[in-house]
Amino acid sequence: MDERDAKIEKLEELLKNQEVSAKMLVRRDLELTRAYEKLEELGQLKSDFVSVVAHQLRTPLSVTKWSLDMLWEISKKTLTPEEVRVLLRGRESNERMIRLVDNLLNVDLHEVGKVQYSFNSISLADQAESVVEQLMPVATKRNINLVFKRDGEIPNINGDDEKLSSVIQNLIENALKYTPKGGDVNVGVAKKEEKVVVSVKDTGIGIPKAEKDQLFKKFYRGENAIKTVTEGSGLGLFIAQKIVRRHGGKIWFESEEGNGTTFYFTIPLEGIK
Amino acid sequence: MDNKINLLVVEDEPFLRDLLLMKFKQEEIEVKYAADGESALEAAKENTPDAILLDLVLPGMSGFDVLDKLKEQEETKDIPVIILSNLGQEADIEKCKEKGATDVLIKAHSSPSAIIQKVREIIEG
Repeated sequence: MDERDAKIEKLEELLKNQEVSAKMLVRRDLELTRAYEKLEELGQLKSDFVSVVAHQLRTPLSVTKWSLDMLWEISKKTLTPEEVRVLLRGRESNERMIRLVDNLLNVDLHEVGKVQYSFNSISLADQAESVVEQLMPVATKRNINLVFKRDGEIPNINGDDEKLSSVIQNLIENALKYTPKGGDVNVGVAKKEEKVVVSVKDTGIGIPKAEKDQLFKKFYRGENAIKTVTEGSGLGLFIAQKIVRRHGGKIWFESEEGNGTTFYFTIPLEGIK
Repeated sequence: MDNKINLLVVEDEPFLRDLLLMKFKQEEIEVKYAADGESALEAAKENTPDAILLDLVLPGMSGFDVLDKLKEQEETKDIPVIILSNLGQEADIEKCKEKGATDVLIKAHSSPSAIIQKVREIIEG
């Protein structure tokens, strides 16, 4: 009888413990749900904040842009070289701010997964060639030898042409920005196994080993990059990585500080829809 | 015969509006303007412009609602509407096109000359 009582007592104790555990689980579940809701709320708040700030910034930036554009058109023939320089610097700064606001909005959209992609059969080689042509005046101005090379027949991929062009443009602009005068920037497109590989190789300042893991992080800029060019938001590569990954591809680089960098990205031939 | 382009600009920011009006005047384009949705709808009915440049963020009625109304009304449904706004996210652009806008321009990305060029392209074909 004593043994039976002891067993019952033990069973009751176990049941009680189970009940306590179940209650704790329910409470923890509730806490986690609340924390998750709070986080979602904060995320939404951040998105709303970025969106409102960005749009509020765009209006005065448009006012400045339109005023400077009109002043330039009206007076470009009568201005002294010094006045032209001042006006053009004003326009450059304005364009830089507009790009920064665009990037801030883009980052937020990428983070909340609200970027819309439109997938079509496109030629990455044609895209890269066209971006190279578009950036040729910048390269010439900086006395950098910008070369495009298409390696054999390259099949089309399934991708968003505007977004992939912006990735190629970002990589080439970075290469031009961080390569000293007289240097080289080589852009190549090739087919490798079941992928198309785009490469942008420069003879620029390179990326310090210690910073290799940081480069694709939001707002990150290399120490030597900041010393070379003060302007830059540290958002370009972050966005580029998001776009490439959305296409099922990879983006990476090989570099040695002081000896140039090569950025690569691949897009699989059987693209994601 | 008067072949002048006749435009309606719907913009509530006075300085941007003045700049646009100045630019259009230089190009000898006839412009009427409205600073809110209600007066835009009235002006569109009265004048039947060749095209409407429409901002999306307006006091009172939003540009999206104005666009809906313009496309509903018999007298205005065929007038090309070019959205000129700083709400340039893909979802907004998509929404405008679905509602019947002919094109969407982002103010911060478009110079006054580029806007005029677009207007001419749309009207003159």
